[in-house]
Order: sequence, then structure tokens, then C-alpha cells
Amino acid sequence: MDILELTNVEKRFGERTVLKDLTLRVPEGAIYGFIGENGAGKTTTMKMILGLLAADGGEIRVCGEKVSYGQTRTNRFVGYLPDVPEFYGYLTPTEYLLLCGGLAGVSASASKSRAAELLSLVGLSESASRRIGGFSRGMKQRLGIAQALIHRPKLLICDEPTSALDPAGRKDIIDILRAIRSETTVLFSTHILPDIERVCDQVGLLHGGKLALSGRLEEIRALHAKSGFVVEFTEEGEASAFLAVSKNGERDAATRLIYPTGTQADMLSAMSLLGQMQLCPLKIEQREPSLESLFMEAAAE
Amino acid sequence: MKQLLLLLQKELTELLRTKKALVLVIVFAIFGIMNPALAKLTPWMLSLMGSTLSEQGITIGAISVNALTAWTQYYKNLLMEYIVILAVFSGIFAQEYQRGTLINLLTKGVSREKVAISKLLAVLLCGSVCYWLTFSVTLAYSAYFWENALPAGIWLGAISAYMLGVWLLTLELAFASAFSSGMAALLGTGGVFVVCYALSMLPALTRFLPPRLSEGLSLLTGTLASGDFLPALFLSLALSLVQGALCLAGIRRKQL
Repeated sequence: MDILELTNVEKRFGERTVLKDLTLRVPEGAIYGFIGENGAGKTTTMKMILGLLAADGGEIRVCGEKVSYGQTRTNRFVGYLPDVPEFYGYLTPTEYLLLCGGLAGVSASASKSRAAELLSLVGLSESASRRIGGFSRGMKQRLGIAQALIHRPKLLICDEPTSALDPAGRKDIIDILRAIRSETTVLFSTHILPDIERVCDQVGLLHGGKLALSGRLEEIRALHAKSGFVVEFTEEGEASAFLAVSKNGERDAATRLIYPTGTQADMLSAMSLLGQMQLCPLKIEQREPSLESLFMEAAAE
Repeated sequence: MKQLLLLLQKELTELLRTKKALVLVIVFAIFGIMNPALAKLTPWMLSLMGSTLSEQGITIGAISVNALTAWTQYYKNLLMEYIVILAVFSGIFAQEYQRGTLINLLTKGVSREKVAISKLLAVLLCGSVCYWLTFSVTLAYSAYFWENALPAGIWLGAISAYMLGVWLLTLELAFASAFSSGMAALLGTGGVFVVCYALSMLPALTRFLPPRLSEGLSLLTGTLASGDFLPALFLSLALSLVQGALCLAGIRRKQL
């Protein structure tokens, strides 16, 4: 079942068309990476799913129910983490989570135990009674996830949760997303591709107002897979010597050789040749398209 | 209802923890003390300066000070008090709009109207506490210093002045929910007040417009009768309700 369905969604700001004919499906249980350059319309799309912005055309459904602008009932299924979550600095995390829980219709006792559980999940238990005013960016981002999950939503929408964080902070967030996947479907926008590769199983690339590429990550990879293999040496002389005796090789860089048409059998024979020549390469690997090159390609089309 | 109570609790916590409530209570208590104190101290201060003044050829006769002097001061300070409280609450919507703090709450399924109502209630509650604090302090000191502490018309005057505050605060919140800047809310409120003030110069309109409500002193001196206040009192009440509704409409239309 699809938790989130966007069908032919359009959005204009004045003369500027941000989204035209955007169709997107997020199946239950997925961690969906929603990718696009700055200004592609990722945040706009998310705000429309939350009913914070009105769509100019098309239809959005969450758990089968239609989203309407303003106060939408579908928000009871959704948890939202804004790109820069802002809180009331005079409250403590526990007080804030109890406020959010109460507003979302969770009973006071359930909110209390859920708040404690979430604060420990996001690693803020020790700061539970400190005021939020003194929190760092990373701590606020983690509290942002906790507030989004307080009512056990079926769909968690995260708007660039890792973009403003240092590598350690990014890893924390990715780990949290991984930990919650068993109970929540995640839609996660970003322009940091390594984060997508670490955690997402489905991706969609938003470009020119529509999805330029979408599907399961490995399927996309397989579809765009390139053949051949690469051998890299530490010294230029070694590369030249190997290039001279091997077939169908091209020089890619001083110490790097590419065999664009090489099959697996070719790769095996290259490895035995390396053994015979007593050459130890830095690495020998099958060519795999990087996510980056896939998206550059899709965006260029 | 539960959501509204939670939001109201959040607003009141904000007032307490950001010390706004404390500052307002202190300032308004001082206003209250100043009214009778200044009246009481005036003869003493003048007598201190008496010798200097008489050297310059100014002689001061007997100055009689009574509760009316304190109430004169009370009505003189009224607008200053309202400016203070309007300034404190001008950013109550703007800071949420600018920082995006409402997004988390609204995506939990809270209606925007409830957010606006909680702010209206919190501001009116705080404004009421401040206003009646100043009034009761002035009243208590006047009763202590002078026996004629309760001149006729004092209650209608006080309620009129209070209604002026309600009108000003709801007017400010109507602007505040529609704009993303606290300064805009303050300027809008000031602008409307100035227009009303200018219009109230026209004798035909004086009795109806809110600025009349600040003239409670005339009730005490007997220059005006209660009938001169009632039209403005009821019109201000009606306007306050309309402004409350506008405040709800403002947040509904706001693009967050």
C-alpha cells in the first residue's frame, strides 16, 4: 500500500511554476530519498503534503485520505521535521514534547512515557530538564525528530534533516532514521547524496517541476549500470607496463586504467595477468555508476 | 478545548519565564504608586523650592491636595501605560511567524484559530491584571492618604479606561496576526488611534469614539455625565469583538 500519493500536482508562485505534473508514490515501510537541487521545490512539495500550502492542481493523499489546505485531518498520520526546527527556548524538551503530544491528541500519561522513550532514542535524555534555549543545532535537530514522532505517525517527513549538520551530527540523524524504520515510513529530502546511499531504499529526483528519476535505488543503479572495470596503480610506470600487455584498455588518469568493454571473464584474466607480472594494484573494481553521475545525467535530460 | 488550554498554558508560561509578566507587574505597580505619591509629594517639593522661587518673585499660596489630584495623575498616565503594554505584546505573532515555531504545532493538527484565541486570551488576561493592579494600588493609597477616596463616577471611569485598553489590545492583535513584523502591528494600532483621536474632535462623534474613554477624570469632576460615556463604551466593546474576529482571520490567511 502507498502511504503517500501525489498525482499530477502543480504549484505556481505568481508567474513562476515550481511544480508541474508531479506524481510520486511512497510505499509503506520505505525510506524515500527525495532529491533535488536547491530551489527545485522539495520544501514546497512537503508543505503541500502538510496542508501548509495550497496546491494549484492535482491531488495529494496520505494513507488514502485527501489532503486539504489549512487544517487537514491527514496530519494525524504525519510527523514533520522542518529543515531548521524552531522551538520555544523557555521550555524544556520534556515540556515541549508534552505540549506537542497533548496537541496531537495523545493522552497525558501516554505522552509522558512516549516523551521519555523518544528523548532516549534521540540521545537527549540527559538534557531533558534543561531549557531548549541553550541547545546546539544538532540537539535541536534531534529534538525535532522526537517532536515529529510523538504521536507515532505513519509517515515521517524530514526536510533536509542533515544539511546543516557536521558529519557526526549527520550520522546521528541517519542512525535515528534507520532505527525508526520498522514503525514509520520516511520521506526524506536532501541534496547530500551519500546520506541517501546510507539510508534510503527508494529515491526520487525532483527536477524541472517533476520526478526526473524514481524507483528502488538498486533498480536505478542496475538500469544505468555501466560495463567494464577499472584498475588503479600506485605508480605511473606500473600502469604503463600493464596497459602495454592488456587488451582494450584506456588510460583514464596517470595511474588509472579503464576497460570500458571488459566482461567479468576479462576482469578475471586481468587479475591473473597482474599476478604473473607481480604487479600489485591499488585497486581493481567493477564500474558502478555513482548516484551523483546518475542524477547529473537525469537532470541533464 | 484541551488544545486551547494547552496553548494558553504555553502562552502564560512564556510570559512568566521570559520575565515579561514580572516586568509588567513591577512597572504597573510603580505607575499605581506614583499616582498618589506624586500628588502627596507635590506640596512638599514646592515648599522645598519655595525659598528659591520667592527670590525670583514667585510666591506659592496654599496648595490643597486631595484624592482628585491622584486620579488626575492616574488618567494622565493611562496612555503611557497602554503604550508600554502594546510595545510588550507587539511581537506576539511576529516572533512565531519569523522563527517558524508555529509549524511544529500546526502540523500536529491544531487549528490556527485556536492559536490566535490563546494569544488573545493571554494578552487580555495579562493586560487586565496590569490595569486593575494600577487601579487598585492607586485606590488603596488614595484611601490611605485621603478620606474622600471614592469620588462619584470612579467605577464607570475605571471601566471606561479599561475598555479603552481592551480595544487597543485587540486592535493590536488584529494587526499582529496579519503582519510578520511587530513594528507594523504597533504602527497600525497607533495609526488607527490617531485617526480616531482626530475624528473625536468633531463634536458629533466625540461621544461614540474610543478616545472618549480616556476622559474618566471628567466623570470625577462632574464635567461629563455617564451618558456621555456609554455610547463609546458599547462601540468599543463591539469593535473589540470585530477586531478579535479579524485577528482569527489574519492568522487563517497567513502563509507560513
